[in-house]
Amino acid sequence: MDIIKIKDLSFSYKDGEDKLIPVLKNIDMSVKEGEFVAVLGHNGSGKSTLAKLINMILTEESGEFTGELSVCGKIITDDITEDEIYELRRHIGMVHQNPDNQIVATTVEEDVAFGPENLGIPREEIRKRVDEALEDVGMTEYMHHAPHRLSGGQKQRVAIAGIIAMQPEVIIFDESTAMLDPHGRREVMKTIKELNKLGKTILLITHYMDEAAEADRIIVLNDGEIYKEGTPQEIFSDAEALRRVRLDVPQVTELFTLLKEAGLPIQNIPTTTDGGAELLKNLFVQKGGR
Amino acid sequence: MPLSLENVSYIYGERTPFEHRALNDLNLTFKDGMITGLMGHTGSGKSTAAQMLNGLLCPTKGRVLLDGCDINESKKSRYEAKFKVGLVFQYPEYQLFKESVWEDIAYGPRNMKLSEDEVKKRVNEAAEFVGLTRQMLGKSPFELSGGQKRRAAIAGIIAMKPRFLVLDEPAAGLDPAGRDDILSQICQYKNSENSSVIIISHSMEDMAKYCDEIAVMDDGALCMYGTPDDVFSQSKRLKNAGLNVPQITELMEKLYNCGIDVSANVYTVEDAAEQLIKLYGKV
Repeated sequence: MDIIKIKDLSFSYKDGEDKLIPVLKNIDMSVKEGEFVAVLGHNGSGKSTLAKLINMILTEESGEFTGELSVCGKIITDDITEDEIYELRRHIGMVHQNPDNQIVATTVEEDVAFGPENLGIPREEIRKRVDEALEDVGMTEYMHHAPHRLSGGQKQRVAIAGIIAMQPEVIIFDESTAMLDPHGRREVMKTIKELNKLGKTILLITHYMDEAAEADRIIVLNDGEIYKEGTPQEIFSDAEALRRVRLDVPQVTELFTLLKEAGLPIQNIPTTTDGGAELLKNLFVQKGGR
Repeated sequence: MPLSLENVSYIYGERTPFEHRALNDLNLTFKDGMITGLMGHTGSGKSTAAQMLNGLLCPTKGRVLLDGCDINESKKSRYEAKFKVGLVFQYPEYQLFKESVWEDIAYGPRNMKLSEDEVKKRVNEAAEFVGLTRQMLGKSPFELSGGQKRRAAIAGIIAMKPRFLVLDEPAAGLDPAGRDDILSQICQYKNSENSSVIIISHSMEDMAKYCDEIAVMDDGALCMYGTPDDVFSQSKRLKNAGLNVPQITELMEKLYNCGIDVSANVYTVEDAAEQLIKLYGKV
């Protein structure tokens, strides 16, 4: 089932003087339930606008919107009521870039409980959800800690737990690792992959090519339009096409492109370190054995 | 002349329940004419150290030496340090405040009490360095895109022609081409002005590519120092310090651990390719 379906969607922001600034143009895309999709694109390509539309943060007041958007089987129309929006948002959680902007409470468990409390969920059920969510992100032992004293990666994991506790089907990550150190990035990426294994649909917006390489599918935006769409292998096989739109390929992919050009027998170009190591190992064993 | 931190300690909120020791007897010298990378996990003390370098923070203990003189010696020396050491904060685009980009870049040089002709010259030069067009200079900073705002903010510091340019995560949040643009413009600036640059970054790949020397901090003290070669060849120590090696180094390490005869001491894609091609010819 398509959990997000977008048909011929265009969106323009209104500037102060009723002038329209087009941001997204004729977008056609869909995301299946349980899928892990990465969205790449240069600064200003419309990635975050797309996320905010899906999560209905952007409404008629923010700009002009044409086309069709359906989320969790419900088609979003102009006459959608506030209640319906709240109901739908429960199904789509969003984790933002800056961990410090997402903390609302003075202890980790209260912070995670904030979302479900606002949904009016009974107390015992909240307790259960908070415990489970903290378990899912590996932060149980920090339950009684003050969130502002945690590391960046830990704060982001608390923010993720707060989203999980609302039990959404889809989680959108809008450059959620951009402000983290390498250890924090690893923590968050690991959490994202585990959530996907638990059945959550993931939409990952990122500037890191190695993160996008972990997804099932990549959508590349350029100047508000879909530029390319495919598996990480398909997308990263054409480095030139990506560099034309201010993007890049993972280092591993760059290496294999050089090796292939030098005449080494390589058919499929890998996109992850593990895949690359495996391939090279086999290559050397084969050649050595002959 | 180098810029050095000598036995520097710094405690936030001393004698309060929130007392936190951010720097712990830190000794670190930034050499002249080099691009030095400063790495460390969140909370390792990098940004606190950076704010020591131009006297924004004053050490609880220890000294900050520029040209062999303690910058905190007098009010005057501390004032002068602000112009000799230019500090670009993280996400500096949030600090733009003047009505036009031109005015914003001119703010620093004007505070140096330079002649209006000199201010003009410096603003134009700085704008050119970071790739802002004449047309953009007339706009309000808020009309620029994120990447352009970042450039404008960096130009404001460059226009003061500091001998040491310190940048905290200059490329964070930019797309890959934006990262490369900004970092190579900083290199160009360093070469043409014969100044020194200190870059704080979490990107191992960028550090490997652009830095002459790298300092790694952990727990408020220096834990590693050397060329990218020296530093990235010690992946275990880096990982213990909450960091990592570039992706390409990780791959070569995996091969090395499988018994393939490569050196794990490689941190650029070109070097890795050269090694593997050579080895493949030999096998």
